[in-house]
Amino acid sequence: MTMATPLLDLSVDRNGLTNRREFFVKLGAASAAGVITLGWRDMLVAQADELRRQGKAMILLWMDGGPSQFDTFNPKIGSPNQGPARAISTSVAGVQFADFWPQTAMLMDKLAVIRSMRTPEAEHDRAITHVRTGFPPTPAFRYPTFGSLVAREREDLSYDLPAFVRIGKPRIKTRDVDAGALGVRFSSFNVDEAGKLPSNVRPVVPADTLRRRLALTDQFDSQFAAAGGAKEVADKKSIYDRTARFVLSPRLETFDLEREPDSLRDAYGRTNFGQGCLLARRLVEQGVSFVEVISTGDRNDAGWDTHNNGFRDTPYLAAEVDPAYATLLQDLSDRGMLDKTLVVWMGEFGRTPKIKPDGGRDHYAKGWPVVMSGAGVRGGQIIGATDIDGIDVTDRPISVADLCRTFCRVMGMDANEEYHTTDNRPMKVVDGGKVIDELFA
Amino acid sequence: MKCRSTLFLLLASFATFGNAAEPAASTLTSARLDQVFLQSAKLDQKDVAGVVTDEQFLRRVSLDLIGRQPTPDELAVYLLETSDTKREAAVERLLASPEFGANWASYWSDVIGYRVPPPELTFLDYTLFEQWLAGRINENAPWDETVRMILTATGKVKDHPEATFVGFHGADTTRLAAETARVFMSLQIGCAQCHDHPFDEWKREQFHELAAYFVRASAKMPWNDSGEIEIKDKGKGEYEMPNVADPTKKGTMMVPAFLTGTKLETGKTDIERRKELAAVVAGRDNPWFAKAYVNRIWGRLMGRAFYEPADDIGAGNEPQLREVHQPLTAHFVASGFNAKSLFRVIINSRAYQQRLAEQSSTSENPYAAGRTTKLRGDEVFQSLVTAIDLPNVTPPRTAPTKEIRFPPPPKSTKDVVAEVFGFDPSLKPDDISRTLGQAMLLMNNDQLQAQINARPESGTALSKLLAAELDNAKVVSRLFQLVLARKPTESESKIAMEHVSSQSGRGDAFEDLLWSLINSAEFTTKR
Repeated sequence: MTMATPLLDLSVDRNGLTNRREFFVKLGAASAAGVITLGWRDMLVAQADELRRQGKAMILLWMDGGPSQFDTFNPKIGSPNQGPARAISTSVAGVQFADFWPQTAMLMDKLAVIRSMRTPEAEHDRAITHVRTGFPPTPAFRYPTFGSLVAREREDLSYDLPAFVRIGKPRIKTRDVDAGALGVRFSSFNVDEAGKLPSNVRPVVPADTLRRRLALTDQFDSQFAAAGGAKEVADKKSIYDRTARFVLSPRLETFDLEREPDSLRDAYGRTNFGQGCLLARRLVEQGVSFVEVISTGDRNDAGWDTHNNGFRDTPYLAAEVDPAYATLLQDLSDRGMLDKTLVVWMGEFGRTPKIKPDGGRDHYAKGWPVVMSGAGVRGGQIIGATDIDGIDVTDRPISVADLCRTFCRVMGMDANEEYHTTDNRPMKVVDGGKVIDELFA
Repeated sequence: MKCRSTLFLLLASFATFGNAAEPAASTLTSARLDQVFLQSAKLDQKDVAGVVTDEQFLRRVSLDLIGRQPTPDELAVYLLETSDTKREAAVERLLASPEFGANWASYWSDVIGYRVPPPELTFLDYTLFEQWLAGRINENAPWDETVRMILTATGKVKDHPEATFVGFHGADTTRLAAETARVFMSLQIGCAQCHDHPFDEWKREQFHELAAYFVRASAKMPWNDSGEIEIKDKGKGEYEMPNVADPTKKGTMMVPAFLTGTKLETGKTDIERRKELAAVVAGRDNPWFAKAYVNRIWGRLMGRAFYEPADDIGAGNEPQLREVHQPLTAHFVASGFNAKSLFRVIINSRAYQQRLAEQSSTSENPYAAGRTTKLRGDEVFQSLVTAIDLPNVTPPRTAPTKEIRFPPPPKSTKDVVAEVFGFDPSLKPDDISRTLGQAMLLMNNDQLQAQINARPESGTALSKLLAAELDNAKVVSRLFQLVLARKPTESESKIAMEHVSSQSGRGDAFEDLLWSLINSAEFTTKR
C-alpha cells in the first residue's frame, strides 16, 4: 500500500499537478475504451518514459574527508600496509572488498570499481575544489561544482523542484564548493538532515491563503513598477514565481520519508546517510537531476578523515554507508531506475599506505577508488590497479578531468561547451581528459 | 533651537560666507556638486526627474545613513517640520545617531568579510570589529587614521578588534597585499601575484613588494574562537617572490615598496613595516586612497559607483562622471578624510535626492532620475525590526566536546536574515541576485510569520493596532507607514480596502495585507 504513493507520484510530470491530469487524459486516449486501469506494469512503463524524457540523473555519494582504499574497495591482503581489515569475496569471482562492506560486495555485478585515481592534491580544501569542480584550485576564479553545471544544463523554469539537491552537511563548511561563478541561481538546495524539510520551505498558512497573499502583493508590486521600480519588481517576480511553485508543490511530499515503509527505511539504515540515500532515490524519482548525499559519520566530526584511530572509526563509517549504498542500488534497480541513474561513490582522495601508531592514515592521492553504477555503466568490472602494497598506480591512471568528462557523457552534456559566467567570462565545462570508455563497453 | 550647531555646520558647508570659517578652496558644496553633476552627466535641469517627496526622502536617507526605514513616529515628526532646511536638519540628526556608525561598520565588515576565506577550524566573528568601527565612525574619526589602525594592529582580536583585518586573513602576506589594495584603494592587483597585470600597469614585482610589508606579521589561528587570534612579530625573515619558472627553486628577495615607488629597507620589524605601509596607503599623497573611499560611498548612496565594480578604480576601468568624482575626492582630502562631511555634501544635493523615473519618462540619460538599490542583509533585518518588531533570538551555544570539536556557533535571527539577504558590497549592483532563500524567508519563516498575527492573544503590533483602531482605512495607512514608511497612494488604498472588504475576517484580511507589504519588492529596495 505504501508503495502506491511514490509510484502514483511518478506519473506526475515536470509541470506538477496540472499535468498529472493531462497524463491521465493521455493514457485514457491511448486505451480505446477510455477506461484507465493503471496496473503495476503500466506504471513502470510510464515511469520509464518519464525518466527518459527527463534524461539521466546522478547521485553522488560523497565520502567527506577521503576514505581509505585499503579499508574499502582495494584491500591489499598480505601487505604490511593493510591493517586489520580482512578481505571478503563479492558476487563477482576474483574481486574482493574489505570486510566492512558485506552488502555492497553482494552487488559487485552492478559496480564498476576504479582503483586507480591519481590526482595532484592531497590537502582537503584543494582536493575538494579540484575533484568537485574538475579544475585545479585558483584564487582567481570560482569554478562551479558539477551539480551546478547539471542544474544549468537542465534548467527548466516550469519544474517545481530544484534540479540540484544536496543532503547532509559538509564536515567543514569552509572547504565547500558551490555554484561559484555560475551564480546562486544554480546553487544546490540543501537539506541538512534527511526527513526534515529545511526551514522556511513549508508554508505556515494554508495554500489558498498563501496564493491570496501572493496575488495581493503582486498588485502592490505593479504599483511600484509603475512608479519607477520596474527593474526590482521584475527581479523579484522571477524569483517569487519559482519559489511559490516550489513551496506550494504537492511534490514537497517527496521530502517526507514517513511515506516509505519502515522495513525499507530500516534497510537503508536509520542514520543521516542512510535516510539521505532513501531521500535521494525519492528525489530522482521525481525528476531531480543531481543529488548529492554527504557521509560524515554520525559519531564525530572527523568524518572519513581518519588520521587518528582510523581502525576504530572506519568500521563505524562503513557500517553506515554499506547498507545505505547497497539498498539504494537495489531499490533503484527494483524500480527500473538504475538504468537511468548514475550512482557514484567517492571522496576527495585516499589515505596513506603507511599506518600511524594509533591505526590512522594520512592523506594520499595516488591510487584511490571511485565506484560507479547505473546509467549504462557495465557492472562487475575493475578498472585500473595499484601495486601489491598500494603505493602507486600500476595500470590505467585516471584523472579528475577523465572523471568529469565521463559524468558529462552520462548526463548528455557537451564537455567541450563554453558557457558564460555571471560576469560574461567564457568557461569550459571540462578542460582535457578522456571519457573512461571501458565503463560502458 | 536644537539645530543651532547643525545650522552652523550647514552654513559652513555651503561655503558662501567669506568669514573666518571659510573652508579650503577645494571644499565642495552640495549646490556646486549639482552643477558639476549636471555638466558631467550632460543634463539640463529641465530634463531631470525632480526631487523625491519628504516621505521618500526620509526613507531613502534613513536607509542610507542608519540602515533602516524611519518609524511612523519619526516620519510624523519630520513631516510636521516646516523649516526650509528640514532635509539638511534630518541629515544631521541621522549622522549624529549611533545607528549611523553601526550601519556603516556593518558595510565595511561586509566589504572585508565577504572576501576572507574562513579558516578551517576557527569561526570568524566580526561583532567586535563592527562595534569598534561603529564607535570610530560615530566619533567621525578621520578615515585615514582608522585605516592606519586597521593595518598596524597587533595583539589579540578580542583586545584589539582593529586587528581583525590582518588577523582574519591569518597574516597571510599575499592575501593581505591583494586585499589591502582592493579594500582601501580599490585596486585589483591580485592577478599580478602570478603575472604582470593584463590591463593595468601593475608588474608582478610590485605585488610582491607590497606583500613584503606583511612578511613579519604572524597570526595564530585558535580552535573555534576568533577573538583569540593574535598578531605578533615573527622577529625575523624577509619576503621572497616565488620563482615562477621553477617553484622549487629559491625565489627573489623583495624589499618592501609601495605601488607609487616609495621604498623601505629590509631588516625592519613587523610594526615598522606595517606603520610605513599604513602611512603610504592612508596618506594624502596616495592617489587612490581617498578616491576609492569616495567611489564606494557614492556608489552605495547613488546606486551606482563612478567605477563599477566599486573595488576597481584601476587604469583599465573606465569611470562614469569622472568630473564629479574628482572634486568630491578633493573635498574629502581637504576635509581631513572627514566622512560625515562627504555624506553631507552628497546627500544634501539634488543629484542624490532625484526621484525614480516614472514609466512615462522618456529620458534616455541614466542620470536623469534616481536609481533603486537592494538593501543589504543587515538593513533588511533592521527594517523587519522596525516594521514588525521581529525579535532577535539566539539559540544556546554548544560547547566543543571530544567528538564534536568544532560545533558551529549558534545563529541569531539577525545572523540568519543578514546571511540570507547579504551580498558582497563590492559587486556590481546588477550582479546582486535575489534568491530562493530570501523569498522563502519572507514568505514562510515562522518567527517572522508570528509577527503577522492578528489574534488579540498574539500580542503583536498588528493585533494591538486592530484593537485600537476600528477605522480600516486608518489601519491600512498605518501598516503602509510601518512597513514602507509612507502613506499609501490612492490606488494602493483602494487595492487594500477592496481586499479587506472581500475577506470575511477582519484579522485575516489585515494579516494578508501586512504579509503582502513585507513581501513587496519595495520593502527590500531603497527607492
